[in-house]
Amino acid sequence: MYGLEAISNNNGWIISGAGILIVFACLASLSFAVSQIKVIFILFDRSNRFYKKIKSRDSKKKIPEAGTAAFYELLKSELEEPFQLFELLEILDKNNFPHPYLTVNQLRYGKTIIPSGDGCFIFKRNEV
Amino acid sequence: MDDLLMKFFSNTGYALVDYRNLIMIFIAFIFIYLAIVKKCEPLLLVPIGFGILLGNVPVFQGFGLGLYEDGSVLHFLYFGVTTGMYPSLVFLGLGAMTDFSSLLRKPVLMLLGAAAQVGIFFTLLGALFFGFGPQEAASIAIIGGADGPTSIFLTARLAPHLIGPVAIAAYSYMALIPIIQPPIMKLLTTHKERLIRMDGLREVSKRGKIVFPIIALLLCCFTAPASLPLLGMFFLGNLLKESTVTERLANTARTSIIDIATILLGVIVGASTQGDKFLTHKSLGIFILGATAFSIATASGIIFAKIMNLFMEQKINPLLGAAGVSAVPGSAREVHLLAIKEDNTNFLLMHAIACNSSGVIGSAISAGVLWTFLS
Repeated sequence: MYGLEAISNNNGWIISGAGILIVFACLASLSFAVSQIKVIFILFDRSNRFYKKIKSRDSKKKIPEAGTAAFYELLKSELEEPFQLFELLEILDKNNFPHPYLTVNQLRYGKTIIPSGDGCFIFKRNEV
Repeated sequence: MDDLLMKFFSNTGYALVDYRNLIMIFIAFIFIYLAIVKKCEPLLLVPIGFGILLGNVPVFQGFGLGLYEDGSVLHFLYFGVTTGMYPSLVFLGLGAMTDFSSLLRKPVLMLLGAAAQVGIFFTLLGALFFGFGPQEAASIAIIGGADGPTSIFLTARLAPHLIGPVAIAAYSYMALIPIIQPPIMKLLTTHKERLIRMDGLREVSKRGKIVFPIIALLLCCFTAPASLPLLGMFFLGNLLKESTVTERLANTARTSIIDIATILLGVIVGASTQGDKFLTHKSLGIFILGATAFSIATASGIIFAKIMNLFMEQKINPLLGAAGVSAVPGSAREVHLLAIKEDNTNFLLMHAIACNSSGVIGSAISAGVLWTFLS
């Protein structure tokens, strides 16, 4: 079979039309999605920043600057140097300190406690 | 003794050779000459050319030597072609080589990759018009995508008896891009249009590059699931590359895996062109329609870019439409060279590569669509 009749009998017109539409739809939607990726990332970053802000506000609330010295004194009086982190956690827990793990992290990153080299920690005295 | 010698002689290639084998051996010489002397797509043409030699050494049937004989080594390797395994592996390597940065920087160029696929569907109509069956017509039409592995993949599914001519036509036209595309580009664009400069490309984050293959896979394969074997591997390869935590795997995909798949694909496709199966009227028709498909694909990309310019504030250089076919990076290079010829400060390469990359995706989707409709 030849000619236009062959095209019609084999659904050529429909396949071609639908094929072109599908390819265009796929790539147009992909193009749109790609152009919006940046927006999605911005939203994601904003929500991340917002979450971090709330978290840091919470921790600030629990360990106010004014109480740092008292907090330090409490730890120093109860801990024998060098000490292990679990001992520090126990004391924080015992004194009902909020977010003990976060506090330990802050003490470490703030270099209030420093490693003594054998898996234990000591206080860095000139920090206070 | 005489009988034994006569029997041996009657089983040698000298006694079994057919004039069609000799023609194919001559074609193999041309391929190997073009690859080695003219440096024309050597990575493809050397394995294919040598494969043609392999396939046209006459062997007697029943000895388990021929490509089409069950149990032969070549038949075993042919399995990778008929199942679509080699094209999928090639796509894995391609994905690990492809940098989508330029496409992500200007996503609107993706539409040019879609427009160039129009050539495939127009040629489908042409092939049906000239009396090819629907499956054969689809296999011929996909040549317009200018993507060898995709053409082989679809033909293996729909019309395996045409793998030889379709593959040879697809790879030949890819090698002939510098001859086929520039006249069409010049014919369809004015000097003023060819001078259009493209604006700078925006920054792309690393996160964007990582997320793209995942989004693209889901969007494309939910719409055209039959393109999964190609696009799945393509985007996997790209994710391996962009994630940077699987550098070793990405490196294997873009070196060892793609090289092995290319060698096997080339040799076996070449070997499938045995004279008596290849030199037919149908093959001639396939070559003519394949060239038409490729030309229409080039033209439709350019025309669509011109149509887009009617609506867009920031004009697109219509030459980029020609790079919408998936012949990476040949067509992008031609677009760039032509633009440079008109104005030696107008660099279009990165934009053209973007169109090329979307062409690869577009032709794989087209193959999936045709397979779904005609299986």
